[in-house]
Amino acid sequence: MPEQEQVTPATIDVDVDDLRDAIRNEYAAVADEPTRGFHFHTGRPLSRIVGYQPEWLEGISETAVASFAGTGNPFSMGVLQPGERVVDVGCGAGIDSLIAARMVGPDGQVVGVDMTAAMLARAKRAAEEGGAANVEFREGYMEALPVPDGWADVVISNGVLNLTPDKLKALGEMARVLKPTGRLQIGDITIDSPVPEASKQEIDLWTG
Amino acid sequence: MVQAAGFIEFEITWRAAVYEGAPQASSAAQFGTKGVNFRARKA
Repeated sequence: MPEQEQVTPATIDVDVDDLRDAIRNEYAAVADEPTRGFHFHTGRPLSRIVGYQPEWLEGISETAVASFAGTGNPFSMGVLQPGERVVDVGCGAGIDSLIAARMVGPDGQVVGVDMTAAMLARAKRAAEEGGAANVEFREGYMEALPVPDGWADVVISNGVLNLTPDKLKALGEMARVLKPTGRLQIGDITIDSPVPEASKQEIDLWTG
Repeated sequence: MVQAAGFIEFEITWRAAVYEGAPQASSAAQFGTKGVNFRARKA
């Protein structure tokens, strides 16, 4: 089986509203109580596991770093260039958006999108604390990004694509907001063992 | 699916057991879940 099929399983029949509520609750907890202990690593320890360079985090507010909950490293596939426009899909508390904002510099722009209000509030606070003027955070879903067609040079995302049952729609949105030849740099998850069809409708499996 | 969405040059660049040692048990081990990085380019 080609690797791309392992990374992006088929559209799944699950109640999207219930799933989104469960995901919001989970990640609101990561925003509000980042040291509580979850089924995934968080914060600065996680940043080391996934290979973030220490210098990327210099000057990034702990407000963003502490609630980091990604599964990979979008920047490992190439640093962003000055002046580029970036969309961070499922930006959470903003760590990747703020790293990106530093990489693209004052002539670049970053838009972070997330559906969890508690995470967005934390991301906005982190941007203010770090003095990042070239980053904006917007509420939205990965399946309907609040970004114009062809706006971005790069789309990044980290641990988010696995949380939608309609991955083709989300990937299609990422393609829509990218310029032609624009880059997709994603951290996510893959599985070695197939999930039984019945289990795919168990919300608890999506969040834990 | 990445290609179906309009991307080319899809490549997985990294895999790792990012859930190992997490504070709470998860379903990750049950399904061999690993963190992954991948990249592609819009066609």
